[in-house]
Amino acid sequence: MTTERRSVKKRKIDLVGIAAYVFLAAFTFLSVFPWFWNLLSSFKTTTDIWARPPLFIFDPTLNNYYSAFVTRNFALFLKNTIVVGLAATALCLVIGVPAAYAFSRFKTFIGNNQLFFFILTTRMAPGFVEIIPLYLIFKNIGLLGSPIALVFAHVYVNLAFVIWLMKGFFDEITVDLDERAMIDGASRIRAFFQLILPLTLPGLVTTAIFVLIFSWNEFLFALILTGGLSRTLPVAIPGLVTPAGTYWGEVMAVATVITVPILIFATAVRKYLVRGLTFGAVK
Amino acid sequence: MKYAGAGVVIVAGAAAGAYYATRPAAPPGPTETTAATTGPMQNIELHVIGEALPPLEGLNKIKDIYEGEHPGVKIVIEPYEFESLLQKSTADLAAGTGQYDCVMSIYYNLGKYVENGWVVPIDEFLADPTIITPEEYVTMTEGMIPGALNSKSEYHGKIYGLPFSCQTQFEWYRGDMFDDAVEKDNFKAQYGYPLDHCKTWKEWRDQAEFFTRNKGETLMGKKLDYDFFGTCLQAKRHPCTWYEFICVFPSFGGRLFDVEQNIVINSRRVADALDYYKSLIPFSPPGVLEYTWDDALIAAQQGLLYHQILWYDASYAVIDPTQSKTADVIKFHAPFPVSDPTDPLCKPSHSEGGWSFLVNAASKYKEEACRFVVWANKPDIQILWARNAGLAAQKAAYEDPEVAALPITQAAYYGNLNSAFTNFGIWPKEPWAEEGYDKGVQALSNATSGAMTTEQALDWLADELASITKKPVLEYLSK
Amino acid sequence: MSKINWARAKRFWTPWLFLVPTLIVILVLDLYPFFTIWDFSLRSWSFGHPESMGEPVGLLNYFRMMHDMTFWDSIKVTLTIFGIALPVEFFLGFFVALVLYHKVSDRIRKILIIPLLIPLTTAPVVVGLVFKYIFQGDFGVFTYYANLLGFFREGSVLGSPNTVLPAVTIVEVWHWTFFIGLILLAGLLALPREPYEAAAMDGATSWMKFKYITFPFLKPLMGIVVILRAMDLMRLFDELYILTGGGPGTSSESLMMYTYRTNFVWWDFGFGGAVSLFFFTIILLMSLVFFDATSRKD
Repeated sequence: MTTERRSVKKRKIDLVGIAAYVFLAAFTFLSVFPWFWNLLSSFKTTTDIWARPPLFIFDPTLNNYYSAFVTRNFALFLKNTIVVGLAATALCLVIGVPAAYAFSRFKTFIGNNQLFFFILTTRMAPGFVEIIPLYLIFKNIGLLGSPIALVFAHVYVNLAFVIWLMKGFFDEITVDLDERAMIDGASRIRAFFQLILPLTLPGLVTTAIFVLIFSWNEFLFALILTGGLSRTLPVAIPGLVTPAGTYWGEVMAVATVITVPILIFATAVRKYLVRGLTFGAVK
Repeated sequence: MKYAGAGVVIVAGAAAGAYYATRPAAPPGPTETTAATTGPMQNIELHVIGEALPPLEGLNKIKDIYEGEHPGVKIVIEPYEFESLLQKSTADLAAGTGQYDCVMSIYYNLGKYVENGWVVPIDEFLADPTIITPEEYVTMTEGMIPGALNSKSEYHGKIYGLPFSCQTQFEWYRGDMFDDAVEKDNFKAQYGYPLDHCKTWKEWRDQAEFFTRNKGETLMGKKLDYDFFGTCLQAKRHPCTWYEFICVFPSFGGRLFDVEQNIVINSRRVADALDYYKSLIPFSPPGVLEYTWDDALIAAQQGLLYHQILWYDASYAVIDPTQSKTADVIKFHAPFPVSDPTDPLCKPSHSEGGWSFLVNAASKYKEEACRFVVWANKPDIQILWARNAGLAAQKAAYEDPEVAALPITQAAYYGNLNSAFTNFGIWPKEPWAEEGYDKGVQALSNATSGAMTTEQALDWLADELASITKKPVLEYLSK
Repeated sequence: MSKINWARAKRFWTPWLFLVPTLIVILVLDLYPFFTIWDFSLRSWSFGHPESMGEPVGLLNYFRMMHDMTFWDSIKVTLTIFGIALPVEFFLGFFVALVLYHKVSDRIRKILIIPLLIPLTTAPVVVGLVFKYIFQGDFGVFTYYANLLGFFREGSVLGSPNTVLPAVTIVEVWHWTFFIGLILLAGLLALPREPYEAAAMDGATSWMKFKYITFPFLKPLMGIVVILRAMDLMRLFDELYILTGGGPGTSSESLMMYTYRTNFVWWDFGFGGAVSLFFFTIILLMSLVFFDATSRKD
């Protein structure tokens, strides 16, 4: 009887499995196609870009890349974007992860729930609401136009996100674990760093990826708070859209490259996206 | 009860804010900056912000001449896309941060900049003979295209900054089809009059209708393997569409205000113009409702259509064989037609899209900035600039043989720029002009997409303008 | 005596130690802007009307807002996109996470994550431009193949009021689904093994394991991810702006775009301030509801 049930179950799972693979393949293809089309087109000349029917085979050129990165200084903007992104990510994690831990563990202190919710309100307002006051603050400090201002603005924007997300990951780990470690003689802080944090590595890595992405792609604050040579990529790209014709070739070259550093970052940290260590291994 | 704490905080904060908010506040002005005196060998960096386009690149090419004449001065030019430019420049001017010393501005923003005290009047330039002497000023202004100075740099009787570049739209058309004998004969047979440059908008539409052919039909003796269109519109919900409409409705006799300062944007004349504008949609490519000047240019470059309204500064892209399939056959013509040549109110109208050059009142190097603005407007510099894709305000530039030889310049200058400034004043320069413009764009988009009828859209626009300007609407079309 | 006080003090202050940096950032950079905007909204504060700059006008801006048709239209557009995109993104994302977790080996999963991340890593501006190129009415790749099938020979995807919202929603879903996917995947990966092993020994089926172990553990994370995405959907702007500019007509103008226009095109911070605060309140109330519904009650 059991053998029969098991073989029936196995056949059912296989069907589901096939559907799952098909779905995954389709999903991946759809995710990648626009970027791929973009990559392909970045090697086309302007007349080829608009050809009908759309060309998959054509004479490639590297002009667009040269023009964008060398002539129009996009290499510099790329550097700015990287610097701001990494700084904002690091700072956000340093400030936000301990806070998330506090919210997750110290449930009884004053106003926990309300304070937690209040922090999220920073992400509710339309971004423009904060633009002018931030602009004036930075102007008065004299940091306007420097990448530091943008780092601060990005930290501010993403802090709530980090706290909220990491709290979710911390919540998955039961409090017993903390208490067992502390009974064994570790202080709260040591328990945090040596035990809990490593267990949430997938969450930590995911959060870091997203903060980097948000900072990387952020447009409004970057537009207002930077200028000239301190511009980041999202701000510089619309400069290629002009009434004398969008320099589409160059837009595509930049659009292709703009995604690469984050992908490199994700590739570097993805080994942490593994199943959590078992309790046994921890002990 | 759970959120009582938060609730108390919010209410208290709101009350405090409301109390504070009932006190009249002092409006912000540019912060007081001590103007740095320009001595020889002082290191000055002038920041210029402008629209990312060939003309600005042209300026970038010739700026080292200025740097050579003024040692110690470096010019940094920052190009931005149209809408980002408007935001960054206004934000900088408003906050008084002086990030940009020289600002390029569209004409209808002048009032806003002046009334908020953000830009330097020409009197300040003239007060310092090292910047510009009264004689030089007279020569310069007399050498400008007639009407440019007042249209672009004058506000309530005073001049601010200097006009720097002037451009308008004109007709782009396929010279090869225009000259083709067979097409000419067919046109005459079908419409009863010869194919020639349009005098009326009806002729424009006739030509559009005539040349709209489906795939498989013949054009110039050859079979088409794609759909061909007679015209196109820049009909996306974007400033481009209102710029284009300004080329149409005044030549129907429509106006924004009448002599008594009533709002008449929703008059029958403007409604006729809008109906006409909409009637061109069937002869335009299917994507027309998402077309900006950019897409219209691509359509021209790809040889998709016969004739259209487009800008002078984009013309460099269409005569360039490396980007355009129609580089050899596109021709340009001005002026635009009118709806009724016998009606004195109907004059050709051309929207102006150039930039005037202003000095930021909060600039740390006001003197030097003024000097640069003056330099950029000098006739010989303007000639040099026009040779580098500049769109000059000085007549001399168009008379220069090298510039005059470009296929586009004749149409731009002699036909159009003259008429652009004679028939100027279609859109006001008051501080609220930008908001009015944006609402105009919305109304047009509502009408062209069919979300509202012509009458409804124009009435809505009239109401919005009435509440912005506090002027009365004369009458309504649909109520 | 002093020992007890020390321990109690440590217990009291430790949480605050973890929190202090956050609180400083938030208080400084959060409250000041809000009071400024509230102040603006009670005055006439527009560069387009410098003569009345700063004059208190009571609730006039709020009344104007309530009577503005475009304002209500933009709320409708936002809610439409929201109502479709959020469930689609959630279910698609969750499904992808499940498939990546259960059906795929560690190595393949690590490889697949990279291409799946591509939509997310693309700046909204770039997403707008890329899809504009794809959907372009005359030369876009999508339009070309659609034409072959007989669609969009008149009017284009982004130029017709009827198809523009679905198109924009598709772009939005393409862009953000893996946000939910990746987070839930990380959540799945962080699940402890113990309860599953215990349940397997008790003979639980996959469905039961899901319902009694996976789902409760993931619920807080799901709640967070839904709230975050919901808030971002309500504030959708960048892609719309590039793709359509809010048109045709106002059929793709989101509330965020309307707020942008009032503040940065009309430069009317009084009116724009009122709209911003109203906007913020809606999102606040919505998040409160979500938050209550999904917070763990233990």
